[in-house]
Parts: sequence; structure tokens; C-alpha cells
Amino acid sequence: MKPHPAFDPVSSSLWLLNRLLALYPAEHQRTYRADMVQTFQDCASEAYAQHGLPGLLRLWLATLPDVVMNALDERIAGVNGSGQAARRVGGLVLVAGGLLWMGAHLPFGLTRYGLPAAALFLLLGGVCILHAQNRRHLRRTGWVGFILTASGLAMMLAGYMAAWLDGWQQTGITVLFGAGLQAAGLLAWGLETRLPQAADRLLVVIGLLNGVEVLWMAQVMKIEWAALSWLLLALVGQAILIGLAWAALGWLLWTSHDQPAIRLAEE
Amino acid sequence: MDSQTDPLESLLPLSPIVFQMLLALADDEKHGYGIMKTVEQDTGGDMTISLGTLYGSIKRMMAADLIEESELRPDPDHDDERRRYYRITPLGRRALQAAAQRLARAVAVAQARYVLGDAP
Repeated sequence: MKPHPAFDPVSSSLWLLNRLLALYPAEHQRTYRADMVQTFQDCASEAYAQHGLPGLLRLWLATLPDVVMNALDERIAGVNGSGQAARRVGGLVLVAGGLLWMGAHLPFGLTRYGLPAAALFLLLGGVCILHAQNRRHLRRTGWVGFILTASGLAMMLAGYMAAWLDGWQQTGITVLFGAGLQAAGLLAWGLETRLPQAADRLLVVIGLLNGVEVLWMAQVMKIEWAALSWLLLALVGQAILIGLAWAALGWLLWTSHDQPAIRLAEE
Repeated sequence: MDSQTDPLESLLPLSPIVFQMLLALADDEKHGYGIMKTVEQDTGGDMTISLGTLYGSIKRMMAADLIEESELRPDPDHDDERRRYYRITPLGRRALQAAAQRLARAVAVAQARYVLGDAP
């Protein structure tokens, strides 16, 4: 019987990194891939030799989000490193997501879950693009804020997807928790990130709107759904406001024109 | 009349990562891992640069003519041909010098106002 090859964490890490680097544009891979692998091999060997598996794990915890975000940045920003294209694309995606979210609530009730799921998918994508373009200016609070915001949107997206595809009935819970995460996340993120045309203030406004939505939802879920048509109406109105605010944020980003050609100097 | 602006003006102030990377290359050319380790040592571990950020910065700094790739291999006995070495350009050195002078002025003011201790 053929013996099972011994598990080598450093080689496995290199294999994984090679897969991960495929996220970069082809031009970037051609120029830097081999060098990045070599550098990571040095880092991984040192981390493993000094601290064993925990050391390697710590290296991956730092490398994974960093490489993914940079690859995304490279993909959307183009070869000159200009952030304007990325911001405009992010803005456009947020406009689409915000309008779709409004559209999903305009009939004053959700009869289909596919539409809000698509809206949340776009909003999540737009938020990630926005973060990829602005993350260099963030400290810990801003990063935590972004992660909470993205988690909140992802949680709501998962809830709507489950309802849409599997007929799951507990969407309200995921919306409640998702909006709560977004409220906290957008406040932290919006207060620290700097966007053109004061668009960062809209992030704070959307956070506050989500906070109010959480209060409405908690009230609605505490009492019976059916008995409170006015409260439900307010909740839907609130959701429409949130969609409008996302769309406005996207519009501001889409129409902004102040990015320097090469992002080296501090803003 | 020369209406062109000094390229330094659009580069300053340098971001902390770019400043530290230029500082790491100030005395010698280095490969990616060497830059990482030097920055970590120079900042006493306060700043660590991850892989994606390192090569994103290298790419932008090369596009801005602050650094360039070197063909030299300082230590051929222990060299790996996959490695690429980078060195600071004259413009990079000027940018680093200007940024360091700004910092030195700030430190001088801080000393004069006893921010760093030794109050009378």
C-alpha cells in the first residue's frame, strides 16, 4: 500500500497561496506572482520554525484578508492604481442595490424574497468595493465597523436566500440581527472612513436608520405581526428610507471626481 | 518659464507604509521579504506589512518612480533566481529626504515644547 505523504504545513500553505493569487489580474500575476510566493515561503518557514502551527495560523490570519482585499483592489482599480474607477463602480452598485431594496418594499410588503436578496447582494458587493478602495485610511474601529456592516448584510442575505429557495419562515430574525449589526458597523465605519462629498456621513445616517429599524422590528415581533398594520407600514417606510439612503450614497460616489492619479500621499 | 510642478509636491506627505519602505531601501537594495523584515525592525514591530499590501505598494511606488527593480544580486551564493530586488530611485530619495525633514522639524518642535519629556 502506498504510504500517505507526511503533511507539510508550509508546502500546504504555499499550495493555498498559489490558489489565492489567482484572484489577482493576469498582468499582476505575471509580474509579481513568483516573487510573492517566494516572499510568502520565507514568511511561512520562519513563522513555522519559530512558533509552529499557531505561528503559521497567525500569518494566515494576517495574509488572507490582506491578499483578498488587495486582489479585489487590483481588479477594480486598474493598472494605474487609481481609486476613482473603483469608487465609481462601487457607487453604481450601491445605487442599484439601494433602488432594488426600495423596489422590494414599495408594494408595502414582501411577497417575494428574490428581489431583496438581489438588493442585499449588490449592497454587500458595493460595500466591499468601497472598503477595498478606502481601507488604507482605516484603523481598528473602521475595520471592525466594516466587518460588522458586511456581516449584517450577509446575514440578511442568507435569511432572504433561505426564504426564497427553501421557504424558510424566520427571515425576521435574520433581518433584526442583520440590521443591528449594520447599525453598529455603519456608525463605526462611517465615523472613521473618509469619502468624497461627505458621503461618509451618509454611512452614519444609514447606520442610524438601521438602528431605528431594529427598534421597530423588536416592537413588531414582540406584539403580534397581524395586529399592527401601522407599525408594519412604518417598518416598510423605514426600509424604503434605507434603500434611498444607500442609493444616495452610491450616487455621491458615482459623481465624485477628486482622486489623485497615484495613491501614495496621505489624504 | 517652466510651468511644470515638482513631482515631489504631489507625493508628499508620504503614507507611513511608503515612508518606511523607502527608509528600508535607503542604504541597500532588498527583496520583498527583506523590505518586510527591515520595516518591522525599524519600527520596533509597530508596523508589519502583509504580502498583498507589500506588493500593491511596490507596484504603485514603481509606477511613481520612487523605486525600481534592480538587476544586481548582492549575495549570489544564497540567492534565489525567483527573487526580485528593489532599490530606491533619485526621486524616491528626494521624497524620503523631504518626508524625513518634515518629521525632524516636528520632532524639534516637540522637543522645544517638552512633549518628549525633560520639562524644566
